[in-house]
Amino acid sequence: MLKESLCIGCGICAKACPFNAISIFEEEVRKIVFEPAKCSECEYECNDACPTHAIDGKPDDATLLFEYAHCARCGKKLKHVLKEAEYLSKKLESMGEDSQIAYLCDECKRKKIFDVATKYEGYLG
Amino acid sequence: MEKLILGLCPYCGMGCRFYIKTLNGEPVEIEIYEGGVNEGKLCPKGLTALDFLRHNDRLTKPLKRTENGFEEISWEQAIKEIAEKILEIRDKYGPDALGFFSSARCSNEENYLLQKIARLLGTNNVDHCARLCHASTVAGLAQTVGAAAQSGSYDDIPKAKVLLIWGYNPAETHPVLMRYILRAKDNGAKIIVVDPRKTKTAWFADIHLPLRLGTDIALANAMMHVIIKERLYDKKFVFSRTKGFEKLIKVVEEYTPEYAEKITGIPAHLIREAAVTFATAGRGIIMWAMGLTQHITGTGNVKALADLGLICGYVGKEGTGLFPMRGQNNVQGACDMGALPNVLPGYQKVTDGKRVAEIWGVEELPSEPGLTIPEIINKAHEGEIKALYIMGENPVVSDPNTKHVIEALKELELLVVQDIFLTETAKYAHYILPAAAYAEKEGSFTASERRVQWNFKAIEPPEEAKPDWEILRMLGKALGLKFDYESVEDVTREIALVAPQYRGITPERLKRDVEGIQWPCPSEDHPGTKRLHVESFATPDGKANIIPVEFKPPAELPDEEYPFMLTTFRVVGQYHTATMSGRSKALTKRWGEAYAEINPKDAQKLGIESGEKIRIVTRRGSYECKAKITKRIGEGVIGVPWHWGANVLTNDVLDPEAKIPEFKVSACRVEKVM
Amino acid sequence: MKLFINLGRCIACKACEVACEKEHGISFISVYEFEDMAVPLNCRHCEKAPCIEVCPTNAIKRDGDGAVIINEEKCIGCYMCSAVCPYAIPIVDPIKELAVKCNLCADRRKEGNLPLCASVCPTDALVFGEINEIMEEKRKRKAERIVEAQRKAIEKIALFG
Repeated sequence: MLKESLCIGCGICAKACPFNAISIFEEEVRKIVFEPAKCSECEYECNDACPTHAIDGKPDDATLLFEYAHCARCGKKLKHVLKEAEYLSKKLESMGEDSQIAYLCDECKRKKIFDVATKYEGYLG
Repeated sequence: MEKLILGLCPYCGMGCRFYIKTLNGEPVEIEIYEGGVNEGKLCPKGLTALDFLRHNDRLTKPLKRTENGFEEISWEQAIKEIAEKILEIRDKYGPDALGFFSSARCSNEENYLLQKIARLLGTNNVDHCARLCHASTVAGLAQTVGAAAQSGSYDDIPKAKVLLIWGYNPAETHPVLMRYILRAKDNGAKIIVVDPRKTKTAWFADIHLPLRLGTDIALANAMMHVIIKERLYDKKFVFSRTKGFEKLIKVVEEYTPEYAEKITGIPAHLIREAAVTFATAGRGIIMWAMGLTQHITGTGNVKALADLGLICGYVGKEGTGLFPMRGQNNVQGACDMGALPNVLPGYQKVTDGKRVAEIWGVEELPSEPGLTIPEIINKAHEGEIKALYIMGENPVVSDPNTKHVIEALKELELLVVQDIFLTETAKYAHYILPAAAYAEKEGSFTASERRVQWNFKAIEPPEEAKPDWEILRMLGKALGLKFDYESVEDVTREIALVAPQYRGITPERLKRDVEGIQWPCPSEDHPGTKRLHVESFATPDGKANIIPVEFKPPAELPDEEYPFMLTTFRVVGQYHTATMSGRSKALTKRWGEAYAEINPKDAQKLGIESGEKIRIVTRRGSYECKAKITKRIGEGVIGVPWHWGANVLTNDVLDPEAKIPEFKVSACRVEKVM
Repeated sequence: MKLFINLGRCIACKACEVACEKEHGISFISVYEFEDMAVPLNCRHCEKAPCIEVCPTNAIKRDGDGAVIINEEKCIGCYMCSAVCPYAIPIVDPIKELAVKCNLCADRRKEGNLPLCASVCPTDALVFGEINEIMEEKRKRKAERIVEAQRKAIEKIALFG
C-alpha cells in the first residue's frame, strides 16, 4: 500500500529497491513512478528506507509529481523538492534549529554565516 | 620499504623542516616534523613540495642545441664541449667576457663552487638573484650597521612591543612567520603596516599606512622628524653607539608630517601616531622586503629604515632588530658564499683577496668588482659578454623588461643553463644540464635568520640528472682546476676555512644538530649567534653610521599617455617564476590564473567589470589578464602578481648603488580587451 | 573534542585546504577570502547535529572524540544531510556518488595525531581540542596581560608618586 499523503518525494525507496520497481525522473518536476508489477521476492527494502513510513508492504501502482523547492534568498532551484523541504524544516524546528535552512541553497547558507561572522571574531583570540 | 627522512623546505627563506616519507626510494608524502623554526607548521607550498619532484617535465639528460632542436648528449661530451668553449672565449676575449649566474635555490656548497670557478677563471662577473631582491639591503645595511643580515632571530618577534612591517606581506610570502607575528600581537605588541595595498598582513595592523608608490623615504623621514621633535629617541644609544645623528637632524628637519602628507598621501596625524607608537614602545622590530628594496632609491630606503631603528635604539637587544626578510631558501647563503661581484665568501672584499687566494693556492684573484645581473644582461646585449653560465635561475621571467633579456640571451656565443626544468630561459640555451632537486642531494642551506641547516638526501635524482655540486666539480676539473672534492662535505669544510662566519660550522655538526646553527659561529664549540650587534657593530670603529637620505621620486611617474601606476606582488600559493609551484595540481587549482587588481572607482571609469580581460601596457611591453576589482588597492594604482610573466611590463632602470631594478613602480595604461 | 576556528587569525593561506586534499583526495575545508578577513569553514561537528537526525539510514554517527562521521557503507546518497546542514558541508563525492564530509581525520586520530588541518595551520586559526582546555589557555593569557598592565601602573606610581 502507498500512503500518497505521507510521501515527500525524496526517492530513497528507489535507491533501496533491488528490482528497480521504483524510478525517479528529474524533469521539470520530480516524477516518481511505482511499478509493483516489477516487484519480486524482496525484503521490503523500500518500507524500511522510507523516512515517513509511506509504504506498507507492496506499493500501489502510481506516478507522483513533486515541485522542486527554490532558494528563499536567491530563488535558485534546489536539489530537493518542496515537500522534502517542508519535512526537513519541521525536523529542524523540532530540534530547535533554524527551520529556514531547508529552503536555502549552499551559497546563500554560507552568505548567511558570513553575515554574522564578525560576531564570532576573536571568540578564542 | 618505508622510510622517513628529514627534509628542508625548498621554497622561501623561513627554513621550515618536515619529513619526507619514501616507499622503496620513491617520494610518497610530506609528514609533520614537530620542531624546527616552523614548530611543525607548514604553508601550502611546503605541503606540496614533493609534487614537482617526479613530474614528467623534469630534465633527465644533458641537451645540446642543434639545427634540429635540442638533442641528447652524454655528460662527458657536454662537459668537455662547455669547458673547451669557455676557455676559448676566455682566451679570445679575456676573462671578463664570461658571466656566471649563481642561484639562491642551490646549496651553500654549490654557490661556493660556482663563484670559485668564476674567480679562478679570472672574473668577478658572478651574481645571483639577490640582486633582484635584497641587493639594496646588502648595500644599505653594510654602510649603516656593517652586516647585511637579519640582526635578530624569529624568537625576538614575540618579545617585541611594536612591529613595523614595511613593504612586506608575510601573510602571502612567509605564512609560517605570521605565527610569530600574531604571537607578538597576543603579547600586546602594536603592528604598523606600511603598504600601498591593504594586504592580508594589513588585516592585523593597528595602524595601516597606505603610502603612494615609491615615497618610502619621505614617510620614514617624517617619522624620524616627529621622533626627534618630541625627543622620543634613545639618547643613550644614539650617543654611545652611533655617529652621524647631527646630520640626520638637519636632513629630516624639513620633513614635517604635513610636508610628507603631500608626498605620501598619508594624513599627517596618522604619521604622527605611527611615529609615537613606534618610538615609545620600548622594544621594536622593523621588517621589510621587496616593497621597500625594489626601487631606484632602494639603498636609500634601507638606510632610512636602519636610521629609524638606530635612533630608537632598536638594534642588538632582545625583542628588537632590523629584519630584512629573505625570499628564497638560500638567498642568505648565496650572499654569504660570495656569489656577488664585489665580495668573496664571508663578505671579504674582492679588492683584498689575498687571504682567500692563499687558501685556494693561487697567486692572485681578480681584484676589480665584477658586473651585476642587470649589467651582465646589458653587456650581453652590447656583445661584450660572450658566455653566460646560469645555474638554477630563470631571468627571462624574473628580470625586468623581459624582451630586453631575451634579445640579450640570443646574442651570446655560449649559454649554459643548469636547472631541474626546461625553464623559459633554458629555451635559449646552447647546453642544458639536468640538475637534481633539493630532496635528491645533500648540502647546507642558510635561512633568513642566518640559520645554517643541513639538507638530507631522500631520493635519487631522475635518470641522469646530477646534483649541481657534482656538475660543477666535473666542470671545474674539465677547466683544469684543482677540484678534488670527494664529497659535498669536503666543500662544506673548505667553506669553514674560507668564510670567517662559518668557521665552526662543520658537516658533522649540522647533521647532528638538525635544527641548525646561526652564524657567526667562530669555533666548533661555539653555539652560534642569536643576535648581532649586541656589544658593537660590524663597522671598522664598532659604531653604527646614521646616514640621512633625501626623498627622490620614482623613475617613472604617470602622465597622459600612461595614467596609472603599476606595482607587482606575490600570492601565497605560487613561488616566483612558478617553475616548481606551477607544477603542483593542488596549487595551480587554487592559484592558477593571472589577474590584476584594480580599484572599483578606476574600473568604473574604464568600464571594466570583474573578471573581464584587460590589457596593461607600459613603455616596455603589454600583458593581458583578468581584472579583479577590489578596494584592497588604492585609486590610480594597478597591482599584478608577477608569477605569470608580468615582468614584460616592469622598468629595468637601476638603483645607482645596489643595481637593483625598480620592479615596484612603473607607469601604465589599461585597456579593455574586446 | 572539537575543531575551533579563530576568524581573527586566519591569513587565507589555504594550507588547510591543501593538507585536506592531500589527506582525503577532496578538500573538506574551504577558505573564503574577503577584502578584510577570511573564513575557513569545515564541518562543525555540531552538538545537536541536524544531519544525524534526518539521515534516513542512520549512516551518520558520532564517534568517541565527538566527531560526526558518515558511514560510507550505509549512505545511499539522498543528500538530506546537505539540505539541513546550516553550513552546507556534506558534498557529493564525484566517484562514489555518496555524501562525504570532514571526519576530523579519523585515521590520524587513531594514531594519536591531530587532524591534519589543525596540525599544519601556520597561525593556529584552527585549533583542535577540548573547549575547556582552550578557554583555560585563554584565561591564563588574559591574566598575564593584567599582571603586565598592573606592573606598568606600579612603575608609573613609583615614578610620579
